[in-house]
Amino acid sequence: MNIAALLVLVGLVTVFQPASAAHAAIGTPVASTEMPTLEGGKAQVMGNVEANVLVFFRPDQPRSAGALRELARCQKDFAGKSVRWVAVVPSSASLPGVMTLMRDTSFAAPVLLDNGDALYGSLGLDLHPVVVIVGRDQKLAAFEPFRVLDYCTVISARIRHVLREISDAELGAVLDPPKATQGGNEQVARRYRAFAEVQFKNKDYDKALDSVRKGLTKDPLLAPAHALLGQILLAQGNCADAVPAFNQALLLDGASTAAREGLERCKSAR
Amino acid sequence: MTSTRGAFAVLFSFALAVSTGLFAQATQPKSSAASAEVLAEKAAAAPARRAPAPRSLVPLTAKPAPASSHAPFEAGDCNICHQNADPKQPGPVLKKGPALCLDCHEEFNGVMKRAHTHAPARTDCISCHNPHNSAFSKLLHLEPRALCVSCHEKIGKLHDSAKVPHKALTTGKQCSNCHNPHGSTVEKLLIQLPFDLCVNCHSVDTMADANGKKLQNIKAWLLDNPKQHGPVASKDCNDCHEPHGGDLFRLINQDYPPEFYAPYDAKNYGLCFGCHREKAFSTAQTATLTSFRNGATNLHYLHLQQSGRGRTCRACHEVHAAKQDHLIRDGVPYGSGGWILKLNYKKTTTGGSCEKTCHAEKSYANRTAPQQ
Repeated sequence: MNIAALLVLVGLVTVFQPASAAHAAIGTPVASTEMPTLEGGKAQVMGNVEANVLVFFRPDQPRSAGALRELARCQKDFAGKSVRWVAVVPSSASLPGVMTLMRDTSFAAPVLLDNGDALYGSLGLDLHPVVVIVGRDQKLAAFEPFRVLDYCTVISARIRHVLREISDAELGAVLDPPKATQGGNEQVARRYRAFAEVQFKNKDYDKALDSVRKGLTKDPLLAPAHALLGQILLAQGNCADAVPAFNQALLLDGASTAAREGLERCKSAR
Repeated sequence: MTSTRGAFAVLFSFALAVSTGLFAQATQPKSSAASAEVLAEKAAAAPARRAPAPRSLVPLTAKPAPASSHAPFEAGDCNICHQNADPKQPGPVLKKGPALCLDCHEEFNGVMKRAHTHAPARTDCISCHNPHNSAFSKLLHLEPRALCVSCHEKIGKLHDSAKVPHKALTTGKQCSNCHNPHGSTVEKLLIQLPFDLCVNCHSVDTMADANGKKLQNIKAWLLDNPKQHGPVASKDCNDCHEPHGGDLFRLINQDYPPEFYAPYDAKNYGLCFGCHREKAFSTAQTATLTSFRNGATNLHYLHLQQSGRGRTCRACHEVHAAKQDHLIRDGVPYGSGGWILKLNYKKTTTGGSCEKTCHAEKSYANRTAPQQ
C-alpha cells in the first residue's frame, strides 16, 4: 500500500469514527410504516426513491429552527433528484408550533406525526434535530445531528453519498475539510519570482536578480524561477551563468519554453 | 530608503483609502446555529459588524522602525504597483482592487475560490493591509484583534464583557489563531473544524482556568476514551462552548449546574436539552424515549427526579468521551479525598447493570435478547 493510500485510509477512519451509540447502527432495516400527517391524512414514511431524508425535529427548539432553515437551502440542490424529504415530529408536539416553524423556515416536506415516538425510538434516537437518511434498500444509510457549522454542506454531501454522486473520499473531505492555510516558503518564492519578473521587464536587472535569488532560497525547486534567473543573466550578457540556470529549469520542468528559448539564444550568441 | 519613505509620507499625507462599505452586506454565510444565546443578549446592542473604516495608507517614516514592510516599497520599486517609478510622483495604481495584489500574491487566487471568503479580502486588500509598511506584522493597519473588532464589534464587546474570556483571542495571533481572514473551507472562516483548532492548545496537562482549576487535556482524554459525544465526533466544540468568551464556567453556551449534585430542574440543563429531549427525563414510564429503562420504567427519571437528591448528568455520563457506550463513566468521584466509586456498568443483550456502587447490584432489561 502506498503512502497516499494509507493517508486516505487513516483519514477515512478518522472521519467515520462513530460517536457513542446515539442511533441504530448504519445498515439497520427501517420499516416503512404509514403515519398520520399534520394535514390530517396519512403517508408512508418511505418512498420509492434512492434517498429518503427523514428530518426529526421539535417545534420548541432553536436548533430545530436553525436546522430547518439550513435544510430549506439544501433542498433546492436536490430538485428533480430521487430524493424524498419527510419531516417527523412527536405526536405530542404543539401542532400550531410545527406549522409556524415550517412556514417560517420555508422547509418544504410532508410532516408526519410520530405516535408515541415509535419511529424515533425504533431508530434509537435521543436528540433533536437529526437527519436520518434511508436508502432505497430501506436500510439506515446515514445519521447526522445538527451541527453549528456548514450543516447544509454536510447534509448535502451525505445525501449525495447515498445517491453515489460522491465517493467516500469526497464525503470525507466535506466532513473533515483540509486546513485552510496559505503561504509558506513555496508561496513566498513564487511572490519573489513574480516581483522579479516585473523588475526584469522594467530592465532593473540587478534588482530582478536579487529578487529571483531570494525566491530560490525559499524554494530551490521552483522551475520558473530558475528560468527567470537564466533570462536575467542572459539579458546581462552572462550566458556562462545563464546556461546552468536554464538547464536546472529544464531538469525541474522539461516543458519550460523560457528555458529552452534561453538556451537557444545562448547557443546562438557563442 | 529613508528619502523614499519621506517622499511617500509627504505625497500620501492626505491620501486615505476610502472603503465603499458594500462588502458589509455581502459577507459570510448567515449564522445557522442557536449557540451562544446566553451571550447574545449582552452584545445585542452592538451591530454584528461594521464596514471597514477608511484607513490611511501613508507609509511610516523610519522611526519608529516599521514591523513589516512591503518588498516593492522597501526596494523603492514604486512602478510595481503604480504607474511611475518616481516616489515623489508615483501616480495612480496600475489595477484596482485585489487584482493588483494577486499578480504577485497568486496563492490568493486559490484562496478566493474556497467555500467561504472574507468580503474585504474579495474586494479590497487595503481594508486590512497598508501596501507600504506598518507598525504591525503582515502590513496590518492594527494588531489583529483590534483590526477585526473594528468591524466585528459584537465579538469585541462579547469578549470584553465576558466573565470567562477566552485567552485565545488575546494571545499569539489572536483572532488569526482560529480564523483565516482571507478564506476557508469551513464556515466562519475557521482554519479547521473547531475541534482541530481547540486541541492545538487544549492538549496539555498544565492548562488551568482563571481560578487555577486544571483543564482537561482533551487530546489525551480522547486517546484513552474512544466513545465520543456526538459533537466531539463531529468536531463541533462550539455546539456546547462559546469560543469567544462567556459568563458560564468552561465557556459553555447554555445553563448547566457547576455542582455535581443538584436538584432536577429542566431549566438548569439548557446545555443538554438544547439537543436531548427533556421529556426523556421527566416521563416516568416510556417504551421509546430512552433505552435506560427497565421495561417501561424510565431509569433516568428514577435517578433524577428524587426530591433533594437529584444528580446532574455527569454523575453517570462523561461529557466529551468515555470508554463505554452512552458515555457512561468508569466511576463517580466521591467525597473530597479523590476516591472514585466504580460504576461497574455492564451492557447486556437485554439492557445493562451496575454493581456494588451507589447501591447493591441493579440490572435492567428492556428488549429481547437477539436469537443466536
